[in-house]
Amino acid sequence: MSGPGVDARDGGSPLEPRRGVPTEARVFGITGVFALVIAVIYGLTSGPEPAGTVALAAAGVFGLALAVFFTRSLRDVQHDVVVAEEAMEEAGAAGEETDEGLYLPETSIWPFFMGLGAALTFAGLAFGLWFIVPGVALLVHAVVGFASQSRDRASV
Amino acid sequence: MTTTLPPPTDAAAAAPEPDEPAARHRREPTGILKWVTSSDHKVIGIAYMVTAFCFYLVGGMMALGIRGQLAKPEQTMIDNGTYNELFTLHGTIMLLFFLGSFAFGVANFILPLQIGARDMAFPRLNQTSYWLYLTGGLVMLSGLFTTDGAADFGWFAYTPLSDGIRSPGVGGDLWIAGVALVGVSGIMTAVNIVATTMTMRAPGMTMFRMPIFVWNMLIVSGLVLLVFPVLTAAAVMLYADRHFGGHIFDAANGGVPVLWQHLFWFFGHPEVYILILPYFGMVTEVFAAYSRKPVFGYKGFVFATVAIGALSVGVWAHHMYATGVVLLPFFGVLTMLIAVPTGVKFFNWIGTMWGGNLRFSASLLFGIGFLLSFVIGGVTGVMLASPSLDFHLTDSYFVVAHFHYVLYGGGVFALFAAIYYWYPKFTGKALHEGWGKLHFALTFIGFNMTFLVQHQLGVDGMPRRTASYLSTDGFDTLNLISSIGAMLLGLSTLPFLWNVFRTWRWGERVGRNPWDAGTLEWWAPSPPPIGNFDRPLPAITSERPVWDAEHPEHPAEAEHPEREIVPAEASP
Amino acid sequence: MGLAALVAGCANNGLPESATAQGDEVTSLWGIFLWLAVAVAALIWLLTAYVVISSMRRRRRDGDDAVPRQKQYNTRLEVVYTAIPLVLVGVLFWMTTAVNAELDNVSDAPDLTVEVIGFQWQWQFRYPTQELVPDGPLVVSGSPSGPQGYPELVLPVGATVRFELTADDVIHSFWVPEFLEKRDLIPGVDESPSNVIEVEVTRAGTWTGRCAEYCGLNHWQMAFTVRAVPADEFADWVRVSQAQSQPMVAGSVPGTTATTNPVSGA
Repeated sequence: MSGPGVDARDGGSPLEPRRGVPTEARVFGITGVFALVIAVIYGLTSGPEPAGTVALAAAGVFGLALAVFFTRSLRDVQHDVVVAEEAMEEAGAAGEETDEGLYLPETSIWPFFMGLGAALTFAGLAFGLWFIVPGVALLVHAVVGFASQSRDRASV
Repeated sequence: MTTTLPPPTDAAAAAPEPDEPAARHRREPTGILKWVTSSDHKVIGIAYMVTAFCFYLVGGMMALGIRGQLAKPEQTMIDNGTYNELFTLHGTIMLLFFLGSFAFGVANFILPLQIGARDMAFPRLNQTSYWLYLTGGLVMLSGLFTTDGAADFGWFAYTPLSDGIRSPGVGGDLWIAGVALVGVSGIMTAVNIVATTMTMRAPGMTMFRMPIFVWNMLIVSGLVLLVFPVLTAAAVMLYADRHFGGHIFDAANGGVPVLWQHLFWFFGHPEVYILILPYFGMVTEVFAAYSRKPVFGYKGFVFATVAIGALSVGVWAHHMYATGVVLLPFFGVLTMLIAVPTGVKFFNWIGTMWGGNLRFSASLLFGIGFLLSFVIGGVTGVMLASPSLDFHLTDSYFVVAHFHYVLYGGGVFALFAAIYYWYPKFTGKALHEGWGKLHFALTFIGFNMTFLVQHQLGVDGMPRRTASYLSTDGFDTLNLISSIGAMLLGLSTLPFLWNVFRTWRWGERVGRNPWDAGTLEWWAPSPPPIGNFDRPLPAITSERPVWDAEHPEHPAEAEHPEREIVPAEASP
Repeated sequence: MGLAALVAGCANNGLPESATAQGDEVTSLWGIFLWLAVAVAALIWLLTAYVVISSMRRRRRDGDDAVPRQKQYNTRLEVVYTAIPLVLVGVLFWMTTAVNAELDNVSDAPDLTVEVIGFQWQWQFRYPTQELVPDGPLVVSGSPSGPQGYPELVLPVGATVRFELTADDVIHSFWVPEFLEKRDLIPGVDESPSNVIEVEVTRAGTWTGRCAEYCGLNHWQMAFTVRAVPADEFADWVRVSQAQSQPMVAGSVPGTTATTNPVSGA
């Protein structure tokens, strides 16, 4: 097993354009534009049939919204990748960075109680208040616990 | 979330000293507490997979009950009402609580490793979605223990049959509750996967260097975000109809029954791709690893997946041709078009193995079984896409055969291929090859025996969801063959369960990369510790950095070296 | 391959023998789709077999650890295997559109109109022009009573028959396998009937029709018998039946409201 050497066989050349629309945005953009186009075709030819037309249009807007979001936000990430990659190549992959960016959350019991509370609440839709009241109480308690655990972490 | 996303987790420089744990500031509990409280993506992933497999066994038992009842004509082993509950729960469990959830489990474990990340983007959200998934399944199944019985209106719950008058009782409400819970859980996982894939990739891991499995999970998560809310909304509407006099789907009061079908299938058809695309991704990794070759036509494969995802939102009404109220040419042409990117994938898979040095492990055998079986589901799909033929075939056993060839021949075969492939990474031990091959042989024979003959049953006129049939109908022989095959298929699970047990007790430990595979998860120890990587990542210059590091003398051949610098992009 | 073996030798490529002119169209379209499907499946099976066998040979020759050529792209090949399916799909779609026009064609003046009413879990067939509602067993429950217990749909050979499909309770589907098509009966579609199809019956015979859309507890017993007879025999049957059964009450158009449908609430 060879060591983690960096020899950029393709000259370290990026396989993706650094400028323009990032690939992340393209994936959702293509889907969104396609959904919008067929929404128009479907709406015009089907009457329009309301459910499908609205759902298709919503799908189109959703895809485009994500595409716009990623175009705006991921430029920075892409840039960070480039910088980090260049730094790594210069340092021969044995970078001197610390663990500072590494945040792994503690264990938590709250998701379990959220699941339990949600299950009781939803089962209450069938079984009535005997399930809903304790279910909602547990759910609220768990959500508060979940949220305050996050706050505690952030303040450390 | 702010508009500026955090830089990707740095994995390259995480372990300055080899003897120091990568994540010092984290203590892990052990025993049962670990499974309840750990937010580690690998623990959650395994919990997902084990739970999903238990649901598979439950749903499989129901299938055996169904096939037992249909083995001979005019049987009364199972009464009509129970039979209807069985096929309703079989469908719901297999589609919503097994196949997709198992894929989420694999993704939870493997996807962060494959992109060189430490964990998922939102570990505790991840935990929450697991618990919502598990409790959702239990809530739905609890209907079996009520006096009214479980839901019995079919897994697609057509109104008006599923309304409060035709299907009173708590079973239907519990079904709605379970579907809503698993819907919310799925949305949470999808958010997590998209965020992880977008923001946590290791330096150098550009989009077009991601493994195919990651690509497919990304597209799948996008589809989940698109269609699961529609399902949840439809379920709420149905609940309102059942309890609050909603009349949304109630024809007698000006409602529209077909509206349910539109909403359900707008979810339901993309759901099929949500179920199958992850397994396309897994089986692609399997083919590449055991052929010792890169994925053939990697970029074409990615574009094909994007195309399937995009087309899938425009084909829902091919489930509704026979209603007579949908646009036949529109849905016919879009549905048939899906055959094109799917066909591309077949050639990618064969091209990957072409000229390769194939290692016929149990995993690859399941992969080849996947190719041979799934193609039948694919070509019958084109037949069903034609409205003219669908008018005869729909709601018959032909459709049953078709979607089992897609979801079992495609999904479950690839699932077992993935289990045998990644088991060393999950546990540090490899499953036994001999038992695995026996498992494959029984599964392949049993599966084809069960479902191949059902094509002919459907063509002959046997409708689906019939609790029995008459001896004068002429369906006896083929049904008997199908039922024997189903028992064989049921038995085929036993060697697998034994294999898992014996590997747990007596299995040999294996190293980091027993299959000499190329993607990043094989760079980590088996099983990976908290924080995943105990040494700096290799340079990521292609979609298989580990191969590049371990076989520097065998890089992927460039077709046009001078053009590889700026390759073809997605069509504008 | 397996599919081919299964249907090889069967007449009509495995389909039930068509009993209508429309069914004949479907039968020929089915033949094209089926054999193309078999060809595509066979191609994939053969390619896979070739890959497996050639690799076994190569492995024996080169050893287990040999690294094969790392070829990843062949753009020309990729274009070919994208374009050929695209063309095939286009042709299939074009052919299916032509047949579809036949299936959805509704004439101005059919020779016979039958109102098909589905309800949980039984059928009623009415002949409004003949003012005829034939008697038939209207309740099926418990154990199956056999084909003789099914309601009967009698049709003349050679005539264009229009079926007007109506349901009041839940969705059903009208399927005679020998007609090679089915349509749903949906309550509450804006105008009743929810679906209209026409067939031209081309041969005499007796077949079993079924409800194809799952419709509740006794769905599997919701079947009927179709009897196609020569035109003169049909006229006799109409005369006899009219004498036996009560004529249709004037103004009782089925399916318009729940109260005028004698079978609703059954």
